[in-house]
Amino acid sequence: MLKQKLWIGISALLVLIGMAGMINIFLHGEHVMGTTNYVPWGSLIGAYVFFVATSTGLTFISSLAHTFKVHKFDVLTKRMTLASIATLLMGFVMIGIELGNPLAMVYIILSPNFTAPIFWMGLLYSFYLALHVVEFYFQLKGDHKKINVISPIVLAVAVAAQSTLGAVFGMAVARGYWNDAYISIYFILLAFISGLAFVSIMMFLMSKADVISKKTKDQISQLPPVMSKMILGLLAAAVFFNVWKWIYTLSGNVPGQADAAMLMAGGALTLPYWLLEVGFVFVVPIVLLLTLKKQQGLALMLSGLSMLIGIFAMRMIMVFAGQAIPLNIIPGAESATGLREFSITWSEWATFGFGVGGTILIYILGEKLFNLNLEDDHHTESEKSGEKMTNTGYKYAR
Amino acid sequence: MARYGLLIDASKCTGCHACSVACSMYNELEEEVTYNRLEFIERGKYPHAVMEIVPLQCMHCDNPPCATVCPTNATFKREDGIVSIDENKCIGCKACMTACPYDARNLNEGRIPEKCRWCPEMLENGKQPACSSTCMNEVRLFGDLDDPGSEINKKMAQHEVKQIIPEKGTQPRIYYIK
Repeated sequence: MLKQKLWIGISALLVLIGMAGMINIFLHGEHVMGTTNYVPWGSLIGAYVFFVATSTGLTFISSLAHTFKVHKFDVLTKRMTLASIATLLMGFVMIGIELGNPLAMVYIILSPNFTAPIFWMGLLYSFYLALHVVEFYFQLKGDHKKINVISPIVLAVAVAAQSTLGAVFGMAVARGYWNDAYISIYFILLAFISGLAFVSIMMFLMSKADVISKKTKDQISQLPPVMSKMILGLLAAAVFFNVWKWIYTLSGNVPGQADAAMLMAGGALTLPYWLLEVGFVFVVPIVLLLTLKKQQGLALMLSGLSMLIGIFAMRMIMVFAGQAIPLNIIPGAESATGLREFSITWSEWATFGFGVGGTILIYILGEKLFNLNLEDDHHTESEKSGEKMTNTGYKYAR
Repeated sequence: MARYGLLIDASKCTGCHACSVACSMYNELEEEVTYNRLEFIERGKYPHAVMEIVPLQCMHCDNPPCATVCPTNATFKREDGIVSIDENKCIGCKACMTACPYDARNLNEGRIPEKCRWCPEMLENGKQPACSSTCMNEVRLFGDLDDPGSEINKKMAQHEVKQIIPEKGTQPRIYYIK
């Protein structure tokens, strides 16, 4: 109980500081943000991508049971759906603060532009939130017939929305570093890794929490081996993507692309890229998961933390790298030399803190209000459909 | 319906910035907003060094990437070719700013990405916008590209012209005398 109070205290503090930052942005606009006319997308765009991608990843985990019939993950389904809704809502807060005139969002419906990726992204994320809430409602009711129908749809919409978010960057023809056909696919891959990282931390905390039943803890204790394999597999795929991205970027002649990559290979973004992106997202988790096999729960938690910090940095690096190199409009012009300035202000850090605190608060509120443990009716129906419970409560197909 | 275009003879530009000042005053622009700017390029080495000056502003492209990415059609292409902004519809997502290959947009205090509007109220009355009418060397010449007798068409027929980064496929409406 004390632990929960501590979590509530920390997250409430983050929310309060975040509100101060958000009010500052509302009052003073872009003057208190790290954006400029040359770097119009700032850290809150990165934070938005971070939260909604994590939501997509959590949807992937929560749908493992009902869409892919991997019943080992039944125990996580409701909790991950709740966490997914919480991170999605915080993503919306990030973009709401970043938008100059969010009230005009009504024109997305009244005057839609079907060629704009942002229109489709907005539409898909709105559907995603609505369907997610309906899915959570049926999960709480234990109506598995309806969940089995809605779960694959939610996953499909989540993947579509996330890949469209990739297209928001990928279709920016003026920005060589983003203008990449594979960026939508890479976004989905990173989203799944973000979700797994989040779940790894959640599993560790749940295994220690007083409010979680022993039965649930037993079920969770069976997940680390498969989680570890999933993370290593997806990280391997991401390494593959990155290696080829580097090769294509450095050997190609796309304006602005190689210059942006050089920011990470000896330029302004070298330290954050190699330490936070390469180190925290890839090296640390791979080493931990391969060496700490006897303490897989701890290894997963530390890997998850490392990956989430690294992926957050990764989102920032991507957003800034795409804009830091001046557009080569007139070759040789003074304005085409040097780097565009970019920064993250305290108000933006505070807004991101609001997202973290808000996610935790919504989750804890959900834990208090709803029964997120597996219900008996679930087991009964599963047994009818040819599955059987083990003594620890997790099912396998006959 | 006219199809407006702009011809720029950059070789005549002295870099006096009168065009920027006249534009700012006429459009009552905020301090940090500018609709047109000058790019300075040093060519060659002393004693044969020269300073080239290129006026730049929104190109009012026929295939405007800013309009393509605008989720609410706040940025739109008018029938006369002018790329215009409906500020009420703008959500301030700044996608137009990242999409524009010419860095033509500036954020105003209301967080709306503004840009050169080609002053249609002037063009429709057969007048040159402030940036053009104030220029002592007549660097800019606006006109109707569909009118064979227009000054802009006569001048374009006399010179070889080019566009800025045409490889982006934006089909800009501003032509520069080579």
